[in-house]
Amino acid sequence: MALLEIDRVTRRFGGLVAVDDVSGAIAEGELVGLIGPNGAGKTTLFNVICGFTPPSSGEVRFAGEPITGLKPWRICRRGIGRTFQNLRLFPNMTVFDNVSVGAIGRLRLGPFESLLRTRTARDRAAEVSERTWRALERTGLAAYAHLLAADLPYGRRKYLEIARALATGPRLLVLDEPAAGLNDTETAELARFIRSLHAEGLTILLVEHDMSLVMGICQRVMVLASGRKIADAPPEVVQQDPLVLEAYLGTEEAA
Amino acid sequence: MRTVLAPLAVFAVLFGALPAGLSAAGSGYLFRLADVTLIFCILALSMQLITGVAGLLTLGHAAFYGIGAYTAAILSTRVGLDAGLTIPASGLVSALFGVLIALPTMRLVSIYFAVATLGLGEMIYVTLLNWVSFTRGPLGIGDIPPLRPFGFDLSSPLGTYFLVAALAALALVVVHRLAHSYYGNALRALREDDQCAEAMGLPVVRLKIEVFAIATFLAGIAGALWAHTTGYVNPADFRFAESILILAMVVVGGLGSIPGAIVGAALLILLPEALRAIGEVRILAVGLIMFLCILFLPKGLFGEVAALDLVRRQFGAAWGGSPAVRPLGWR
Amino acid sequence: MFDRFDIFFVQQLINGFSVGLVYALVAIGFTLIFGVLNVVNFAHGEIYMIGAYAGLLAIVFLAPPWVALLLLVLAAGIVSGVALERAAFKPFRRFRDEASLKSKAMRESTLLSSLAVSIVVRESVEKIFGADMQAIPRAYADAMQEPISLGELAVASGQIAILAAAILMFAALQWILTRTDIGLSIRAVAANPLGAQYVGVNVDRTVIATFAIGSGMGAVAGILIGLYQGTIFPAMGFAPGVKAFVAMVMGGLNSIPGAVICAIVLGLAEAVATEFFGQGWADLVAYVFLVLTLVFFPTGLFGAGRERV
Repeated sequence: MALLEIDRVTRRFGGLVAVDDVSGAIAEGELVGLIGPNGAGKTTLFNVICGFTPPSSGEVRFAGEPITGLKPWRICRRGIGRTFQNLRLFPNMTVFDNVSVGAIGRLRLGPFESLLRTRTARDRAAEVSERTWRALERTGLAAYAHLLAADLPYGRRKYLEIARALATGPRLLVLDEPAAGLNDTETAELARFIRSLHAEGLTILLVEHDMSLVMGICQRVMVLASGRKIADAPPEVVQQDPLVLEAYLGTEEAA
Repeated sequence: MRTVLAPLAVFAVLFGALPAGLSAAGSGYLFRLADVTLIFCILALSMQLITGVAGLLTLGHAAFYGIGAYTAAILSTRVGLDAGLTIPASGLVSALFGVLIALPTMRLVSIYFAVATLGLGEMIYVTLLNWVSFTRGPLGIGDIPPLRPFGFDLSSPLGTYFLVAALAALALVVVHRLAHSYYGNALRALREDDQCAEAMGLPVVRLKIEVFAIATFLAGIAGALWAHTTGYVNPADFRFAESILILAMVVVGGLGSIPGAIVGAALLILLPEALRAIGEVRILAVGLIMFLCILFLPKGLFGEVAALDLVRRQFGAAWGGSPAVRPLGWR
Repeated sequence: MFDRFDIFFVQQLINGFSVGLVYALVAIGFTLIFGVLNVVNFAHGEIYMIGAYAGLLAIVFLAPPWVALLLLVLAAGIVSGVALERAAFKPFRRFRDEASLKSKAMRESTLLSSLAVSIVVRESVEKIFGADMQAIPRAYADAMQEPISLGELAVASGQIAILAAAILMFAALQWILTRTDIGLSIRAVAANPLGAQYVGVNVDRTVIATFAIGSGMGAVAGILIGLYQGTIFPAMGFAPGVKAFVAMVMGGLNSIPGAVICAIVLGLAEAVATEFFGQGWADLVAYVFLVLTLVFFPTGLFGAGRERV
């Protein structure tokens, strides 16, 4: 059964149709890419999935249940973890604290438990700590745990975003343009990392502008152009698709 | 070991050295000054929780302080309720108003939230001023009985001091525990980027309402203490200028820092008192200190970033942290 | 035609209208500054107060003719506006990238710094002149109290003067904004500060010009109202400042006509509330409007919309 189903989603902004009747599905355990030229509607679709923008029509289902219209935090608790395209870290908090926020969201720590330090609060706190360290170790950030996020080297910040999303305990990880601003070596390292996460059984949706990363690691690629889905196939097939070449490379040359 | 020392030192000063010194001086004025400073410590701590930790700039905090003071005043003069009951009741009434106000306004983004709290604070002030049949308007309410909770006579300067100090210490523990726990991390995440925090699974609006309720509860307690220790309440004590005074304490002390809130409160109460000789310059001093602070010490005396490490290392797991957990521990 | 009550009521509405115009005079400068910098200038009420005190000093020491008086006050307003900008806003415009221009911390720093400056200014004036009301010399104040009767209704010459001043200022501002170079750059910076910088607008100079214009108008409003009311005091800026702010919020934040209309609506509503509930409770009206607008009309009543929730 599909983990995430996008069912005829349309999103309009005034007269502009940013996402036009897009459908698609991601099965448990898949690594899927979502690409498209600038302004194709990738980010809007992304925001619809994560609950930041309600769709004008259509429905998104996660694990068989509709999630359209739910608040972002509820969607996150259902198991969709996300990163942000333009790095939205909590700069005045340490790396550890940044990641712990992801774990806290999942574990529901209330004020009175923290105040009275009840048994459950202690257990949950221990679990937050545990999860946080696991996410930090998984992303290789454990050594930076005490550093302020603002002082982290740029390349590492991408991993901090991912660590924070991992700490929410997602079933589906949605990455928004993780390769933006990285050089070739760093992109290759990131590709290896994403692939290793996938190898551990995590379902991943990779939203990217950069073709090479997606083509290199994804099992399947969806292509958006002007709000419509124009292809949905394995990378080698998409690369040959004349429609994709026209839409994607055409605008790329024009740009 | 060090982690236990700092709070021990705070408590030793608060309950040992300070009252001993004040008693030795035998001055009612100094006792009164200590009480007022501690009451403002509670207010600054509660605002620190909203503004410094959770990042919600509020310009109407004095209104909740006023609601607490009037609740205590009315319950003790009209209903004849014991101070042991009026104090928690003031906290609850204030928190109730806090929640009522938070429900519609929490969706507003920073600056609009600030302005909405200014408006609501002034609304409460206007109500206190004009609802003469209930609050006696600009005359204020006098003859509020001193502190005799449950038959214990604490109306002497020393007794009053101990009760105020005990409640201030309690407020300190509450705010410290909340701020330096994972719950506090969730609140800090709201301050840094609430949209992102929401994407990480935090119920942003609910958290904001919770923290507002807790802070207004503490402000209400501070109000009740003010009413009982002063014996007289008057709407002018809970105006916009008072909100700004509390805000200035937090800004000067450093947003997000608990020692900062205390030092800020002490500084802005005691310094103008010390300057009394050159005339009534309290508010001028507040404005000037705040301005210089924003300009030259944007993080305040103990702003979050510097304070983060300091506070953690000093106070870290002091109040019952579990040593079994790793270095960053149970916070 | 009217019975007694109606005449009284209409008279109250006229008074409310002129109070609304007072708020409008303050709101014009306020909205101008907000629209450009996207920051709340808490010290605008103090500029208004400075205008009144500058006028009083001029009257006492120079007894100038009317036009000279207004020009002097205008100059005082411009000078203090520029000084305010230097002290409370300039230090926070060090960073010019998009992130800092939009950041919450920036806006809140200037909110706090302008608040702090407003406290310092108000208290300093209080130290110098005393907290009490100061009477404007009769020779000038009386000119604002000449009754002018319109049938059974009466208006004071001051009310007409305030109306004229409001119209004049509004027209002058429209002229500056649409017909002059500096107005063009003000509009450019208001629309997109970063873009304006890229196309060669001197943002710094534009911001100063905005403060100069907005504060000059605020100061003139201060002396006019001081003259009309006959007394001035250091805290006189607070109430009109808050109400101008409410009008600005209701009007949609960056719409000057919207702010003016809402200021008048506010004045009328206060007059009606005073009529039914008394002066004290009428102060509640502005705050109720403010909170209701913020909660239910997040883009203001006339706003094209700026994100607020």
